[in-house]
Amino acid sequence: MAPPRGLLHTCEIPALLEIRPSCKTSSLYNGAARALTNVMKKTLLLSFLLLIPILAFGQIVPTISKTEIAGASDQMLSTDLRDSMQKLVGQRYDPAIVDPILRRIESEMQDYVVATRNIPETDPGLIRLVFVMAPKAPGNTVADINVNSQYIVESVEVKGVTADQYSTALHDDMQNLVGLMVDSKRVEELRQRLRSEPKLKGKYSVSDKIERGSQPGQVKLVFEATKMPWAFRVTLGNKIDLSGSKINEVKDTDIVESAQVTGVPRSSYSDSLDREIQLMVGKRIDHLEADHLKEKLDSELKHRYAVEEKIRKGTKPETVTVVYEAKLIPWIPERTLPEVGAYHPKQGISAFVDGTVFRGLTLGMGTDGDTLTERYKGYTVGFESRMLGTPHIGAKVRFETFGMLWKAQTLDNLLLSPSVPGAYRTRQSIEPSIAIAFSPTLYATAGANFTELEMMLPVEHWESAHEATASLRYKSPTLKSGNTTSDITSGYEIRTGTRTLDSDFVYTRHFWDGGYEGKFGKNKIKFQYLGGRITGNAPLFERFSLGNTVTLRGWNKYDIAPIGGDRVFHLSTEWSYKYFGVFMDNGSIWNSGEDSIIRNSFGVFLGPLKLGVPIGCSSNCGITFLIRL
Amino acid sequence: MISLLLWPAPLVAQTVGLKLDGEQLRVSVPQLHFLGTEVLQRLHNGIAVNYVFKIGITPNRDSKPTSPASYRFVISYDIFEQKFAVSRIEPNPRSITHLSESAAQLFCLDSIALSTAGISADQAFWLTLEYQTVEPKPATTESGGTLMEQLIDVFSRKAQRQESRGTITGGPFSLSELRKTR
Repeated sequence: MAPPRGLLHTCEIPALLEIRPSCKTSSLYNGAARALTNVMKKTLLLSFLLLIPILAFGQIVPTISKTEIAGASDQMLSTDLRDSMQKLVGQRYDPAIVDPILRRIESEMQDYVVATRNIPETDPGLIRLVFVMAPKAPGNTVADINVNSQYIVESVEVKGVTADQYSTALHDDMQNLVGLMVDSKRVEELRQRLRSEPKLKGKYSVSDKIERGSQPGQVKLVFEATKMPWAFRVTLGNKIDLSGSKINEVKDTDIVESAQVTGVPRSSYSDSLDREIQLMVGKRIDHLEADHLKEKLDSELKHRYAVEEKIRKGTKPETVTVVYEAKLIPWIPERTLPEVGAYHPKQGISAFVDGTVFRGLTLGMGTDGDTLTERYKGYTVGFESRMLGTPHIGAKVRFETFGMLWKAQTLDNLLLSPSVPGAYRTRQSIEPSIAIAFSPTLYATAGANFTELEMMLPVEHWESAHEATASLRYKSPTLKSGNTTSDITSGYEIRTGTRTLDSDFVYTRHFWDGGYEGKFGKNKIKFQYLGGRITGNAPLFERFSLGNTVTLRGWNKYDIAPIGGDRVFHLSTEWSYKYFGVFMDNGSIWNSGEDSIIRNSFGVFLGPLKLGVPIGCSSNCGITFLIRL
Repeated sequence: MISLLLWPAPLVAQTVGLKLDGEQLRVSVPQLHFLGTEVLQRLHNGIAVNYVFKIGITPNRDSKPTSPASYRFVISYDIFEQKFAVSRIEPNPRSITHLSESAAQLFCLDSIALSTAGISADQAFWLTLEYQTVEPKPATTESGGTLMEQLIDVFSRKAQRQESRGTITGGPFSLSELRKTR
């Protein structure tokens, strides 16, 4: 490679010709500049004579007074090369004669990087030429080549923050640099460490600089911490919670600033537990201990409360707060309409959802042709509180409005059954009720149901079905034994239409249901029963029905009892392993004064997909494909 | 990478000269002062600055050179002698000290050469010279983490580590013309 050209224009002299302010100060350290100052002091004539060649050629060429090797022993070089270096002495500095020497050194010392350094002598026209050699390091960085690496660190100072804002270890590591030559790599490392100190991270940016020390060749190392703009400070200062990011992540090294239990009176749990919770304060957060104490609190509160453990960043850096939030568990379950997602080849698709959407507000909508003999479609809206100041009492009010679709079999059978109230086009009702829980497993309800029916026959007219309602329901706590769990449910409901409530229909409807569900590992056994009895002339929506995707699976309710019945019982038995299972249904639906016919069916299922086979079905029946979500 | 996107390169209007030096093309941009204010401030604080220059030729003005030659320099400033030092890291490591600011810049530009191999005598071509400061890789890996943390890291270091870069394009040139003017 050709030697770099123009070095004659770049060494000492161009600084003299520069007009930049830095030139003024550069003359203090530049031998050539001092020479010019002396010359100017002597005589104007001499200055002028000297300036003529400067102006004419733009350069003063110093003479090499001595050559040296730094960074390696000169014995590592060949004698011939050392002789060539010595021959430079007395010559004018010229890259054209220096560069060949450089290349020869490079070829002899291939593991070294070579540079020249011109050191002005006391005599302004002389320089000492030093060949500086350093072992080659792959990926040489700024740290290796910074010209200031030759100076000794006189002091290390941190500005912008106080000593208590960063660790003693870092302070010590910084002070360990004092007395050593500047190591830019180490300086950068310390800068990054300072920036990452917990009290500075995200709040300060840190820069470093090297300043001249009190002695020549000695420097001061300064780290300057500057507060970052507000937007970054609040973001990283944990005032904004960016969920999903690690910014507010609690670290295992954080200290517990405070620990408390909220939502329950202090007397609800023991003094010893309280002491244990408070013992966490001032120590590093121990998640296992915190979880253990949560379980203990849960147990002492006798599972009447849902306890949530929240560990958040504290008010000071590197601290956390531990809060156990206890909330009373309502004893009364959500009392919405059962959700339906079903398909029956002879009854169609049913999809009805009902649930709490916001703070007790309930909404439901859809169509259901599976549950009753009618297919209703419409919506419900209501408000439900499961805890009126106490977990013992809840209340609910719900409004429903539905339009009806009837199967031809139902309408035909209604014509043949004058004792059964007729079909209606719409059904609207409002149903207030309260619930009283005697224990977390047993509760009773009482209320009323004001239903208005838009009757279709003989002419369209409205009739009222105003009922008083009451129920009692039991749901056992889940009993666990090894990998076996058992749940038992049972309920009774009575609804009675009465003239007292200005009802056009006078009747009483009793309904019992319940079941048992046992899980044995991946095996599950389920028994369910229901039974009902109606006296009086109950409207169609209160009559019982069997033969859908839940009861007498495989049978069609419109073949068994198209207008339902006022007596019913049903037993269902299921065994399943994971998603696969078999079932058997037995039941009967009939009307008062008629004979009860027991029907049976069995089938298999895979998740929600079922194949039901009616037993003893003589006509218009067979294997039925059902879906029940 | 993010800082490259956020601080688009200033398009520097420069007169680009090209000289034929044997079998090498040497660039000359007399008005180019790539040591900007921010970089000078950093240098005067005793911090060394890495520069990467890329030089390449293209058949027309707007295209990008396919295989540019890369030159890497480290410039530092002697806080006592108030002189610049330049180390060429690649290719062929070479260092020089006691330079004025303009001489340091000139040394870098003078070191940059492009082989004429593969360029036919009458082929017209454009020359593109790109330069930019490059951050040395942090000594520790603590700057890892989420994108948000990395972004914040980049922004928080802006004051100290503002990037300096530029692109200069000149032409059209041809070797036959350059030989005539040699």
